[in-house]
Amino acid sequence: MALAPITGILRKRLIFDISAGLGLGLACSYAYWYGVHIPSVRKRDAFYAKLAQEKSQ
Amino acid sequence: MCFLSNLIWLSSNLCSNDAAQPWQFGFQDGGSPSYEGIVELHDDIMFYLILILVGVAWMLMSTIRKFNWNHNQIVHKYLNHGTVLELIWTISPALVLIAIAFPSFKLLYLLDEVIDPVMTVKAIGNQWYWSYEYSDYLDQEGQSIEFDSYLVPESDLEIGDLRLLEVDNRVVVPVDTHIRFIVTARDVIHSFAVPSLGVKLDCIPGRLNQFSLVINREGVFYGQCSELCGVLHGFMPVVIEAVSLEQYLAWLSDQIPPYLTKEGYTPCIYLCITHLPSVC
Ligand SMILES: [Cu+2]
Repeated sequence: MALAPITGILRKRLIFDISAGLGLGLACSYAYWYGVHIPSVRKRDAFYAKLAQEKSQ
Repeated sequence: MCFLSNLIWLSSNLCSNDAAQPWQFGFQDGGSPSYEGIVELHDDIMFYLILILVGVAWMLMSTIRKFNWNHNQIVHKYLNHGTVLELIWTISPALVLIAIAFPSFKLLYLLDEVIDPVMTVKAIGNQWYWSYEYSDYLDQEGQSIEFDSYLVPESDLEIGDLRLLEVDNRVVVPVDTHIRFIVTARDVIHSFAVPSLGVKLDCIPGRLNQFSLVINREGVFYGQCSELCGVLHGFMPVVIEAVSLEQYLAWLSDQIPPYLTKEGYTPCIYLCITHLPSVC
């Protein structure tokens, strides 16, 4: 029985793993940034905008 | 269970006390620009942290899965060298470190800056209470406002008071005002810390440390001594009460005897001149 060629497998796997790992990581990072960070900043800014409005009245 | 429900509640409705609360997850709500800066840096770093966590976890899982003996019986062939891999795992952390270092240094130097403060409060750590001095205002004998601030014992707490955080005399300061805090200690090293204002500074006997503070909103901000200073280290809280300028002036005039600034103005006129030139 002929063996499947075993050259270049590591390189291919490596490139796949690195790009998949970092890609997924980047996706999670951006999910955190837009899902947690940005909303909290928006909430804070809304609070201070409301405060400034109340003060000016 | 309590932890889990709090976690869910907090992540869906993030609105915290200006003091630590039971089972708290995450930060308190901020009250000063330096606090916002610190949280901004935290979030910046968290971005890279998640990237690294997921990337490394993926590589680990993939290595365990693909390179075990059952799966690949000539695995040793690959176990000695990988130039590309080594290049990647050397250069990418360096880039991440640079990306983290720049905002970190920027914040560090910004927090260090004390430019043109309107008023100064001196905080002195003692075993085991804080004393405060408002050295901008003097009475006829040249004495400045001075008071001690002790923990309210549990037996004296009233409903709504925070246990081990309430003090008898709060530090009253105006909002939206550039305040300089000078901290030191009389006996051993203490640390003046108020998390929601982004403040933590060591108080060292014989030395003065300073930080500047602008409080964005009215409120009562709680903190605790943060350098182990003896048996009652956990029982010398810091309470900063930020009030409007008018309330602050009323508080000042309640402090008897009548105080004048070094220039001979009443605090009201002095603050008006320095703080609200447009009004005066
Ligand atoms: Cu202490």
